[in-house]
Amino acid sequence: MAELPDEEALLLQLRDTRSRANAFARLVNAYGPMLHRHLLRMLQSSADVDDVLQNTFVKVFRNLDRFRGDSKLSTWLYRIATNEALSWLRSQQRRGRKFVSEGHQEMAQRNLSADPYFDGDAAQLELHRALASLPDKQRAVFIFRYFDNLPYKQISEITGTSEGALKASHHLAVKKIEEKLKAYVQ
Amino acid sequence: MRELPELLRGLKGHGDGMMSPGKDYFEAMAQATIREGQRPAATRSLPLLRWLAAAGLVLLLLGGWIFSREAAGEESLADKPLNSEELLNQLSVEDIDAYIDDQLHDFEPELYAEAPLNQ
Repeated sequence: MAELPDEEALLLQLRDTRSRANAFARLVNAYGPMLHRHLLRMLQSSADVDDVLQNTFVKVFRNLDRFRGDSKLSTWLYRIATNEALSWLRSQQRRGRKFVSEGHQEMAQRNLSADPYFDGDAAQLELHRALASLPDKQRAVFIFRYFDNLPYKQISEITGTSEGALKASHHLAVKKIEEKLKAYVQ
Repeated sequence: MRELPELLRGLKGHGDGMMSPGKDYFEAMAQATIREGQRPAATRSLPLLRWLAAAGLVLLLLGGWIFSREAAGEESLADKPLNSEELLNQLSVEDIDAYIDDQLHDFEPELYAEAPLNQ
């Protein structure tokens, strides 16, 4: 991942219309890989990630003046990306409900096996299959905790959910994934 | 790490098999985003018919709720009429969202997600 720029300096440049374009390119370069990975874990298809990441950055660009710096910049970016991903999944599920009978896990396996940004082995593919079985919000919590090692406080700021509820959700997610993986190992 | 069972702890060390695109991808995305971001944002408005459909569904929901209360022998609404604002306050946002969600397949989810960011 590109080295994260000094947040305050970057924000100052982003708020100045003369330096905004350059500063925004630095923002995308620095935080883009982090968001791309997060979205790929959420959506399990890099084609979908292209669209959702683009939507995310357009929202970021248009709302830069609203960001007051109450949270870390990465928290704000994660929040927008996660909201975009959840909206995307809801719309896909509504449309897919009519036409597709394939399960979430099978779809994840099929998508990732052919995805240019997935190079995992069978165990890693199984982990993503297990992830696909979780409800969307629970999957987001698990991803933040397991892959990104985010503290509950930050996840709470991103998702707008209490830390207690997040801990319960994560606990449930871990149990479900462990069960799925145990079945695979045996 | 302590909150993870051994199986997941073991897998964590191997990563998840995901790769990130190269720098060119993000540079192109930044340029495309700036172009898109500088365009005036499209006004998000529901067509009149959908507003009417949504309003009709909410009224139907309210009517059903009032009818069910009366059928249950609760205090007659005629004794203490509630105005529409009071009635709406008694419905949870989740109930209304779920109802509309179930009924309007093409209802744009971004309308829900448009809450002001970082506020």
